[in-house]
Amino acid sequence: MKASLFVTCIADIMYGDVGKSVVQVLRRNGVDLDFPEGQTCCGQPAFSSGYYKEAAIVAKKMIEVFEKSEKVVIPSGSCAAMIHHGYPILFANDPIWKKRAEEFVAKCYEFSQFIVDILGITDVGATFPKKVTYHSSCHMTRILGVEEQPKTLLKNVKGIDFIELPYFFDCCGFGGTFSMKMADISGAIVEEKVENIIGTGAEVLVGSDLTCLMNIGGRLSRRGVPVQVMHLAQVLDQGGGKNAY
Amino acid sequence: MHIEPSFHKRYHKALRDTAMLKAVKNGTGRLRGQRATAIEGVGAERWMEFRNRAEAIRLHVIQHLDQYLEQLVDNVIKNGGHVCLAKTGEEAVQYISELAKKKNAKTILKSKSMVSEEIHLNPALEQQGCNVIESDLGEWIIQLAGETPSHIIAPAMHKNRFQVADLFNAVSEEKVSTEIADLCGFARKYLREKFLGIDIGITGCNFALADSGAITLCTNEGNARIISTLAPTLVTVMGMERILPGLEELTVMLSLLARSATGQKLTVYNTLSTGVRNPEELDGPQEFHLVIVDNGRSKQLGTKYEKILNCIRCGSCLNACPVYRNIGGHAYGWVYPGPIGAVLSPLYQGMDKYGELAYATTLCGACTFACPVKIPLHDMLYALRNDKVELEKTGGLVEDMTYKGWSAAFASMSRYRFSIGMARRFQFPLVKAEKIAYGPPPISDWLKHRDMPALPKKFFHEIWRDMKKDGKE
Repeated sequence: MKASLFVTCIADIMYGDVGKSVVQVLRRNGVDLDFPEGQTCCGQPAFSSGYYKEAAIVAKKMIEVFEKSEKVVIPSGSCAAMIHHGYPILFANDPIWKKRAEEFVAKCYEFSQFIVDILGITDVGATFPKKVTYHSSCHMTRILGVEEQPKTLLKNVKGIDFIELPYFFDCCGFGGTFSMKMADISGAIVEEKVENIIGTGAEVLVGSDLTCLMNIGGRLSRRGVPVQVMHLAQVLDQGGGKNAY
Repeated sequence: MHIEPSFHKRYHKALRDTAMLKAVKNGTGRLRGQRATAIEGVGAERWMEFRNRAEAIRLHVIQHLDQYLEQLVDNVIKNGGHVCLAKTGEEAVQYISELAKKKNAKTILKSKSMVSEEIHLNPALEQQGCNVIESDLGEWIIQLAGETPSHIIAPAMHKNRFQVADLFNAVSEEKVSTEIADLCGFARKYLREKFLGIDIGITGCNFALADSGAITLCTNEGNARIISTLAPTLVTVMGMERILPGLEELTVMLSLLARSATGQKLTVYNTLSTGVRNPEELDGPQEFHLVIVDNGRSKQLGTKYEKILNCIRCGSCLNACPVYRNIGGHAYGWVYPGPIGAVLSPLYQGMDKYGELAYATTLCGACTFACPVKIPLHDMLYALRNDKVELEKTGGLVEDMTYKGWSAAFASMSRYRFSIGMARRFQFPLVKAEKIAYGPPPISDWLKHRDMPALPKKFFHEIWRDMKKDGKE
């Protein structure tokens, strides 16, 4: 199957290794993946701050960049949710771009959603003998409606000891600029999340949204808690899988 | 109670109040846990059907609000009641104050009403010498404390039993212990005596039924029922949107309201009152006044925020909200806290006063999913932010520059790659052991509570290039 990778700005800038794991997992599972040049960001930072015009400028660019792609895979629940839920709002009063946005939306999938729902794969053949818990990110579950797919993939990893995170559905407190504008409230919220993670006794926290992971990981790091933070793709990329190339 | 004008100061004060935060976390935790159990009992699919039906009912009422209001008013008058249509809170307060004067009222007993809090009814009545007593346990607690409600359905959620015991002991002749049963026992005994000798009773309104003119009151303590039975003159204050067509719609709403609010299948006391007693009846009010308050509500009709009028004040969005759970209700500043308050306050009271509340959210969407009548609360918070940028032409100088610069850079791959390349090149003074722990504004805000990973040696697009070069493409 042919697909394009929209790696997202956060993965491109901060977490190149996650992008690499996404590529390897998808290729291992038979995806003919390309990486269209010109891609930057879905536009969420501006959209969330109320700057719809600025968001639309960047969103239009992404629609153009992926015009020829058959399917687009995005390793970030909130960026995929931004496209699915935000683009129709951005272009509600622009019939031409609204149509182009709808075509784009229809082919965009979050990473785990693509593997489970489109490829029909629930076991990617990975091995990861560690105690793992999972943080469900808000926009991915509530807005995009992708909830079980990442957990299904995780639970099928060989050797994994999966522990449900108490209040896994609670926000981690990131909220984009909220984390800086109202840093102390955000700090209190992420502290709750970190306490719940510590309570599970997990060695690894897994998530599907890098911004949530950057937030939770940043707090874990600040407190010196030795819990490793990984994107789902990095876990699915571990051990046992046949060569990606 | 003095209310600090800046949200920033209000929430910082809240973050330091550990007793309050503990009480709020306990309270919201209990309520949302009970709600989750109740929904499990119904089944997720059926719950969704219920919500869809409730949403449809509310949308229908709001779209035909003029007709239903007219029908309600007609029926209340037909039943022997009086109606005041108050455009503003002041008008409503004035009507009730004059009524109290006319009746020479000394003792006024109230059941819980958020609208009466919204229009500041109690201080006005007290100013003219009335003894106003709140009969809802939570409301009475905060009345004793001289505070405002911090939660829509649990107004004293922010207090623990030790604080409550202190408040009770201030009015009790005998010492009240800090045991919850003793506290409730004392309140029951104390308030029971007040019900006798009441001049005017004031209630809120959960739903007014247009086809009969009946007022529905839902309480777990039975206090509203006693008031509506014993008060010679009964006043009901309601927001103009709190109407349902009739009993059939009410059954849907009651099951949703109780489950969403407290996780009960049904509130303990559901009272339907059609106002004044009939000549052959022995109890019930001799005079009934329905005060219907607009106070900013009709302004929302026909706008993108119209659905906010669907709200049935169950409070479940508060319990679901991570921000509410971590700052409590008072920090929001106006009478309605949490996500519903963050939308209602700027809409009813003005963006200039409460616009900041649109940013008091992580936009996690938990509120929208908790809402029994499916108000897209988090979408409205986005829209309010957009309104601030579009209508005020600015979201703040720093933000304006940031997003203009951002869109210019991120709309072009070369400018984007140049910008992030510069950031990587110049981050070195801040990086220690591959992470950043200290830095200048604005990242200093991020770094207050957490570290930040340093930008890695290779961006993904460079890794991709290498993968291709290695023949792995």
